[in-house]
Amino acid sequence: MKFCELEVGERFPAVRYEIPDEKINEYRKIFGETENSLPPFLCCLYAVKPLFEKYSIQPGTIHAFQEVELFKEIKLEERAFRSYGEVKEKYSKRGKNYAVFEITTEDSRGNVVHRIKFGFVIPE
Amino acid sequence: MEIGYKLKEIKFKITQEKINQFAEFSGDFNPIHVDEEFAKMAGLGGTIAHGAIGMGYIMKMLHSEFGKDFYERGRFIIKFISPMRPGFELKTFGEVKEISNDTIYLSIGIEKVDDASKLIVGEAWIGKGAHSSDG
Repeated sequence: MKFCELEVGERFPAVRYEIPDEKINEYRKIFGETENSLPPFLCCLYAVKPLFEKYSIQPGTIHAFQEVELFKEIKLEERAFRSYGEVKEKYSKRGKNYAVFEITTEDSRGNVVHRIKFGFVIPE
Repeated sequence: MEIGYKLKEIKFKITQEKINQFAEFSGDFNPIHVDEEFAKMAGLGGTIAHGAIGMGYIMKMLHSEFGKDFYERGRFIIKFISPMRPGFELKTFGEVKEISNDTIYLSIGIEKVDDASKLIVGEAWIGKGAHSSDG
């Protein structure tokens, strides 16, 4: 991913995925026990798939900020999702180049479960 | 719940093992997290944890307090202002700043246990007016 090549409004193709049991177990090892719902944090991690499939992240890229909106509690047995997104913003500030990506995730019935924005500092 | 109410904090420690575990979990093997030499060359003074680890704990804190309301009518914005490094003892924080229109507004973040310096800071909204876009 090069800053000069990013275009605001550029969309990345939607991806469909399922969250396997082992990811829930790995989540529990790091963050502790879950309850009866799927931790939205797990979905947020998977939601970056379209971003990482579209762009390769350069070494040295720094995660600067994050916005998350949650719209729906996800039952633990719900595992199939679809995420899509776009380049929302790009700007330079204090000598650093920032890019903001917005990703929306839907459940298997098309209900939006979350919308997240990732802000990255991208090396030249 | 009243203005000034403090959310129950969650304490955790950053270790290189935890960072490596999170790299496996997330698939994010950016060398600034897992390669000490690369991180030094990049001017970071050593490896730093994924900001998302802090985000995970903040989400856990908000869910512990607000339950389903957070999952259905929650929004937060966080900035990663200082790196979380191996050896740091950290804790989440959250405080109610305003309540209006069925929405609770909070300051949130991650700070060091020893000197309360802030590493992640942000804001959260829980309730009917929390969302800035349509679901």
